[in-house]
Amino acid sequence: MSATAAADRTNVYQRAAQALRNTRLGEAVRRTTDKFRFARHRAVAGLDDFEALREHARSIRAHTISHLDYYLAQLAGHVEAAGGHVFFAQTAEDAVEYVLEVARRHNVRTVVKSKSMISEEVELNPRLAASGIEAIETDLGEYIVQLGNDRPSHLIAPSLHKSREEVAELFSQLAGEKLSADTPTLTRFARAKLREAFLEADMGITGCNFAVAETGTICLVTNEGNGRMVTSLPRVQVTLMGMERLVPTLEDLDIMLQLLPRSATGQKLSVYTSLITGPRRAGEADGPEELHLVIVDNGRSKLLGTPYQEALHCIRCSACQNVCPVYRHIGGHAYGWVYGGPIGAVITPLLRDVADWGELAQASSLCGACAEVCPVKIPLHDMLIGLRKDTQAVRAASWEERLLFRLWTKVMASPKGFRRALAAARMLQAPLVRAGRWRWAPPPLSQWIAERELPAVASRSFRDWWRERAASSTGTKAAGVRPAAKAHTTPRGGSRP
Amino acid sequence: MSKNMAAKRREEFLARIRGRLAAGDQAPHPGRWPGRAAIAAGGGDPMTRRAVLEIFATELRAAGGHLRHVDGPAGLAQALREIAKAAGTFLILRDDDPRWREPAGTPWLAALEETGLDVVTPAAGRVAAAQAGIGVTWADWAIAETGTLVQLAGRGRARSTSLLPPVHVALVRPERVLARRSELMAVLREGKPAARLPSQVVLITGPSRTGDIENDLTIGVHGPGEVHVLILAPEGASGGSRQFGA
Repeated sequence: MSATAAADRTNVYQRAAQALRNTRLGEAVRRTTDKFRFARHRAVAGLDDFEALREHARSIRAHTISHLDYYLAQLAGHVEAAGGHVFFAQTAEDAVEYVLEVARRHNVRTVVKSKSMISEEVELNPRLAASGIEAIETDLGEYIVQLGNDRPSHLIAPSLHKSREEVAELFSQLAGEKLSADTPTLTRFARAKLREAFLEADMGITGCNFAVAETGTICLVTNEGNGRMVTSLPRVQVTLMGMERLVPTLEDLDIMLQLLPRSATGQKLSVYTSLITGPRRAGEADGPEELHLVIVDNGRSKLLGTPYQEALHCIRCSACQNVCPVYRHIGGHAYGWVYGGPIGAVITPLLRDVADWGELAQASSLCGACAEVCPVKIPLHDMLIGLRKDTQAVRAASWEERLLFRLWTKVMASPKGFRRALAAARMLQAPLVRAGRWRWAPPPLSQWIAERELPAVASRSFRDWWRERAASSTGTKAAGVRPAAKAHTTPRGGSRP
Repeated sequence: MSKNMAAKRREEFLARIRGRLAAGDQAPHPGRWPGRAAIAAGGGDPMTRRAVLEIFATELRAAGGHLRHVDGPAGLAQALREIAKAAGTFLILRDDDPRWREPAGTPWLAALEETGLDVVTPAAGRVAAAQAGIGVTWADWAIAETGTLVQLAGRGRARSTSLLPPVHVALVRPERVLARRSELMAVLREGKPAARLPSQVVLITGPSRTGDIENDLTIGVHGPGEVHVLILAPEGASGGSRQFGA
C-alpha cells in the first residue's frame, strides 16, 4: 500500500490544489466528462420511463444487498455446478495470494488483464510482477496508464488525463522508434502489440460488471473486445469480483444492462456484453479450460447494516463523476486512492478508514447532482454529510479548536451571551470589515474566510430594530407594513448582489 | 487448499455478512424474489416481422454495422466475395458449426466454398485463425432494439471466430431476430427456473471501438473493425430477400 496517498502524507486539499494548477488536466477532464454526461442525457431521454426504470433498479439492488449471503451462496453453487472454482477472499491479501497460487500451479508467465477496478484495489499487478509474472493491461486506456506507471483517473476513461503526445511518447519508447501522435497510428500499434500478448498469455484476469446468482454467470461489458480476448484465448481465467456485484436473475441483469451503458457512455448497449458460465465445455474450440471466481470483501462487509449500506448498490457507471463539479475540476487522482468522484469520496473512507480518508467527504459542494444521475438512486450527498459527521467524531481535534467550540457553546446557550457576543463582534469587526464583509480575520477564522464569505454583524440587530419599530409605530396604521428598507438590509446583505 | 478449509472459509465469509445484515435489522429472504418482471417486458403490441427487421437494420447501422439481405446461396457467395475484396483478404475462418451440416445449412456451406476464397475452421489452429481476414458465424439470435447479434458458445464453434479477424460476417435467419433483449433472457432460460446457460453468450453490437486517446473515436481496436450481417432468405423462397416470416 506504499503508493497510496495516505503513506505520502498528502491530503485531499494539497492534491486538489496540485490538480488545479494543471490546466491541461482540467481541460481534459471537462472535455471527457462533458462528452459522457451529454451522451447520457440523450440516452436516458430516449427511454419511455427512465424514472420507473431507476426505481426498479434500486429495488433490485436493495433486495440483493439485503440478502447478500443468500445470493452469494447461490452464485457460488451455480458457478461450481458449471465447472468453475469459487474462492471467498476476506482481504486484499487473500485475493492476491489465491491468484498467485493459481498462477504458480499453471506455471503462468504472462497474464492478460481486462479492466478491473478491484484488481487496482487489491494492488494485484505489483504482486504478480514481484513473482516474476508479467501482467499486461489490455483495455487501451488501462494499457496507457500501466505504461506510464500511473493510476486510472476515471472509471470508464482511465487515461483521460494523458494527452496524445504523452501516449505517443510512451508507445515510442516501447516501439524503439518515434511514433506519430495521430490516433490511428497509436491504436494500430497498441492493437498489434496487445494481439501478441493475447495469443501468448497463459492466464486471463478480468473484473466483473455483474454476476447472475441463479445461473452462476459472469457478465462483462466492454467496447474494445479485450474482455472477450481475455476470456477466450488463455487457458486459465480468473475473475475478481467485489462481493456486491451480483443480481438475482437474468431478468434483473437485463434491467441493469439497460442502465449501465446509458449511464456510462450514453450507448444503448456496449459493443460486447459477454455472459460467461463456467469454463469451456466438451467440443468447444476455445475458451478457458479452468475458471476461477474470486469474490472479494476487502472492507465491504463493514458497510452492511449501517446507514451506508446503499453505497454497495453502486454499479460503477461513472455518471456521478461526470456531473460532479468537484471531480470535474480536480480529476480522479486527487481523491488519492482507486475510486474518484462522489462514489469514491463515499466508499474510500468506508472501505479503508474514516480517520485517514474521511476528509474526502469535504471534496463536495453537496449540490446533489450525483444522486440525481445515479441509476440506482444512491443518496450520495446524504452519505457525504454523514461522513463529515463521522469524521469529526473520530478526529482528534486540536486544543484550540476544542476551546473555541466550548466557549462558543457556552456563549450561544444563553440569550444574554448571544447579545453580548454580537455587541463585542460589532466593536471588534470595525477595522476588518469592508462593504459589509470581513476582509481579514485572525486564525483559525482566517482559514474559513479564505474560501467563503463572512458577512459582517449588522450594525443594529433585528431585535433592536423590532423593539424601536414597535415603540415608534404603536397605534398607527403602518404597523405590519414594510419598514424603511435602509434600516436593516444594507448591513445584513453585505456585498452580495 | 483442502475442501474442508475452503468450506470453512466460505461459511465464515457468509456468516460475517449474515451477522452484519442481522445487526441492521434485515428481513429474512422471501424465498422467491418478487421483483422479477415487475416492469413488463417492453409492453406494447407485438410487432410484425417486417417492423422488427427494420428496427434491427436501423439500430445496427447506428452502431456502425452493415446489413444486407441475401437471396439464396448464390447471393451469399456474391456478398462474401465483395466483402473479401473490399477487405483485401483471401482467407475466411468459419466455425465448424453443426448448422452447416443440417439439411437447411448445406447449400449455404456450398456457397462458402464457391466463393473461390480459402476457407478454414478453428481446427486449423490459432495461428491460421489469427490470419484470417474474415470470420463467418451463424448468429443464434439478433436483437432489434439495439442492433445486436447473439452468439452462443457450443460444439464446433470458436469464440474467436467473431473476434480475431478484422471483419466479422454473421449469418442471420430472419425468424431469429427478436424485438427486445428481454425476450432473449426468456429464450436463454428455456422456460426453466434456472437453466444452465452455454459457457459463453456474447452480445455483439457493432464494431469494436474505443475513445481512450483524447476521446477520439477509433474503430477496430481489438475486435473486428467491420461487422456485416447477412439476413438469409429461406432457400427457394419466391420473392427473394423481401420475403419475411418463417
